Amino acid sequence: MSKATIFIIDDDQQVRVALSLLMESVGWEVKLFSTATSFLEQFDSSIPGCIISDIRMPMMSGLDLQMKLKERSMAPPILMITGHGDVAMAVRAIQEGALDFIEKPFNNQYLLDKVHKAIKIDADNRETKLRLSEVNEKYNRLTDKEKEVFGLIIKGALSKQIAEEVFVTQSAVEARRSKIMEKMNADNISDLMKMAMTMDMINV
Amino acid sequence: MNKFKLLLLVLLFSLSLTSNAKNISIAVLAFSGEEYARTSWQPTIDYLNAHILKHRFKLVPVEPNKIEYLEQLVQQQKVDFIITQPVSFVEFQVKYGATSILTLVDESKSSKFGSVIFSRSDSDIINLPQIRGRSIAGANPKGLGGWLIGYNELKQHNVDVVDQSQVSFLGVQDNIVNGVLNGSVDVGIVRTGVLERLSNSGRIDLTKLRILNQKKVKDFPYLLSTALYPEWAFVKASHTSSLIAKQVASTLLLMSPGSKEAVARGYWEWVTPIDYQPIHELMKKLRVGVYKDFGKISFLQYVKENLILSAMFFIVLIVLIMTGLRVLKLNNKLKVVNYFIEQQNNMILDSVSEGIYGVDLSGRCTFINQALTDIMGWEKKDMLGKLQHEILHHTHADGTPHLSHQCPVYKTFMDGTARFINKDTFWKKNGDSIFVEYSTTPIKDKLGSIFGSVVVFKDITQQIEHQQLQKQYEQDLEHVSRLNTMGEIVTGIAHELNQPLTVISTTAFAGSKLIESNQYSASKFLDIFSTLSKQAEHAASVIKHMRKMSNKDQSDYSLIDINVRIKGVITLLQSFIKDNNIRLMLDLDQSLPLVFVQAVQIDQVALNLCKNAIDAMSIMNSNKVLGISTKCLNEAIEVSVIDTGSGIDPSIAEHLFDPFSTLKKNGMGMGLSISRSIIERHYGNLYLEQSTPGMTIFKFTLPIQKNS
Repeated sequence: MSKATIFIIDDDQQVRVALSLLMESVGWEVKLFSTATSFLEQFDSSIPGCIISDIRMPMMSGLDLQMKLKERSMAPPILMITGHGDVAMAVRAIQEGALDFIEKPFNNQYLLDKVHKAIKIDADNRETKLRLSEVNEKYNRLTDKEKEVFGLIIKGALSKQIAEEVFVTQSAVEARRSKIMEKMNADNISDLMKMAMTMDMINV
Repeated sequence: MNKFKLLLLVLLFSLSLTSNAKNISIAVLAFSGEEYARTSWQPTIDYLNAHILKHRFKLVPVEPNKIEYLEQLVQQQKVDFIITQPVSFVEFQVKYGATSILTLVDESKSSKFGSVIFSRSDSDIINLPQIRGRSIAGANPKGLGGWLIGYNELKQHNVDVVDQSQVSFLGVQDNIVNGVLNGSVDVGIVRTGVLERLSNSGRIDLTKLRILNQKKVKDFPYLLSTALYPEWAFVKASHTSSLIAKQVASTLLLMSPGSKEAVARGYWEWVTPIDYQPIHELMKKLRVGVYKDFGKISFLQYVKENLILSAMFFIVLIVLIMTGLRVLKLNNKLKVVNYFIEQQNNMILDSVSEGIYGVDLSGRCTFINQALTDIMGWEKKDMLGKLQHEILHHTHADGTPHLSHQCPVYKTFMDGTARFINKDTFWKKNGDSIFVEYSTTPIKDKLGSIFGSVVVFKDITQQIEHQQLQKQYEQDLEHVSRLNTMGEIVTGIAHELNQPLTVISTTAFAGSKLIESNQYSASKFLDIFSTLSKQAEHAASVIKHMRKMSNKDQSDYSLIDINVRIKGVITLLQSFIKDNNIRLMLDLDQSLPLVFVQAVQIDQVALNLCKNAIDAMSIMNSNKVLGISTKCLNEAIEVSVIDTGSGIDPSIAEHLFDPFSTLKKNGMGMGLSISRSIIERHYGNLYLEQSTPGMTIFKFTLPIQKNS
């Protein structure tokens, strides 16, 4: 896994430079872009990190960028830079999923904390995403009948209940259960429940 | 002599040929009765008939007591000639315009006669004055020789016989002589010749009589006490043709002297008429006959007698009276008119709202009107005869003395030129001062020489206060508009200010982090400090511009470079330009001269125009350009602000510069109106050069100060 990188997008060169200096001072990798368009062109979803983008920019604004990134499978969290009086735009950015907005001039420590948090979130997101793809892969190995039983297991049904539900003998249910445990590489029901949650099959 | 008579005959003959045959009446005064007159005068009439064949001459004897009958005959033109004594002739002459054509010569061959005044030789009366108080006898009151001539002589010697009892008229003259002789009267007056006739016939003894005041006249044959008067006259009535008169006169003149016709009446011959004026004088003096009222003539009579003269006199009198009345009336009218004019003058002077006063050549006040008192408080007693400059005009508004030789009122009558002063200070009675505008006009007499001046003034204090208020109001409005524009761009400005602040705070924070991490290098920190300094300066400049634009009083003039001001304005608008994706194109003439202006006001204009240009392009997606160019014209600099917006509708463009005219949702509509008034105050022009879709150009000019 490559090192987390801070993508800084601002049309003001002085601000870009100042931000990069700040990020570098605490050891982050930094990539600078003067427009959102140029960022999108060079976007690589495999690179972890976070985005710090000015909300007001010519051509493509921070909000526009946010919309474009939603279309991508894996996008780093966005911290929006706003000026005085951009409250309405900031609220919209949050509603659309931005991690936070930081008003200029920055509370620099807060900004650094937010960047840390964002990178962590990004890392978590990346891990969650990795796990999901693994679980999905295992789950897809199940037969349809096994998937049916899987669904009932995570709902907490007992073997007898499952047998009645799917019109098979109780021993047949047990056989399917062990097959599911094997295919899903689960040690116990709790592991199965976690995997189901990863796949959003259970609302917590 | 014969030759002359022959000539007369020829003349007579030729005259008789041309006249018409006619009955000619000749009246004679019959003193001695009709019968005697008829017999004695008939031969003379016969003589005329014999010599003038053409006409028939007829004798008409009239006794003296029937003289009025004769006058009637004359008036009725029934009598053509009259043979009568001088007094009677004078009466006809005066009353009826009769003329004498011949005068009679009596037996003594004299054509004149007089009176003899006498007493008895043994009487004590030896001179005329002694007659006073004594009895006297005459023939009759109108008898000439037998009374009037003698009476006149007495009067000349101051002997008046007014007492009728003293005087007796005895008719026949012989009785007078006898009366004196027998002592019945003291003095007698008879016609000359009477005494001689009586003496020659032996009836009296002349020695028994004393002739009083005896006079000797050459060739006069009789005793005489008085002056001589002409004899009887042959008289022509006024209606009688002068041709017949000439025939009669010439015929009688040809009669032989002492002929039987003449002797029959006791005369000698006829001669050409002599002057009867002495008779007139005598009658006037004694007030006889027609001259009865001479000297005490009644007004009415005078009028009757001098009708034309009187009429003329009356006309002249009436004209004079009427003229007099008219003059009087006109005079009165003139007085009224004069009074009225004076009143009217005063009324006019007092009814005008302007203060008016007159000044003589010494600078003293000659009159004032009511408005002056109303405005200034000075009354007539304060001003008349006093030096107006010392009262009204002594000090300027700033307290410095106003010297009298600089006073426009004095200058006016010094050089005779009218002046108008549009602002000056007059001092009121209560010590306050007011602003006035006034005219001062020289007054000239008929010959054109100046004898003073008239000053008409108006209190313009309120006007000036109003102007000052107006100026204040405009300034306030400009300020409000400026603040409004600032409000519109304040987020932009905040943004603009945030950039350097952000850079500074972040860079400084990063710097400290670098120190904490011990990763720093000196060159890195040089960059950091340079950035900090630059950004702080940038922030400061933005604040400076903002503060200037927000200040209220921006009336100071200074020399500015318009390019620098435009760059400053763009600083304020930078974020707008950026956010709206506008491309800024500057074309600034680097050789522009400086202009002397109220800098912030000009900034306001540039800011307004640029802000409008940006707003005009806000709804567009692409091709947004804001162009600003400056260039130098002959006497002004020109600034153009260009945008590529959709343009201004012509119907709106018309009212673009009116106050409260706006194209923006939240606009005040004052921007362009105020901008134009600012530029015009600087003697420049602000106008819309062009507005089409894709190209709108506003321009303003500012004059270049030649001497600054």
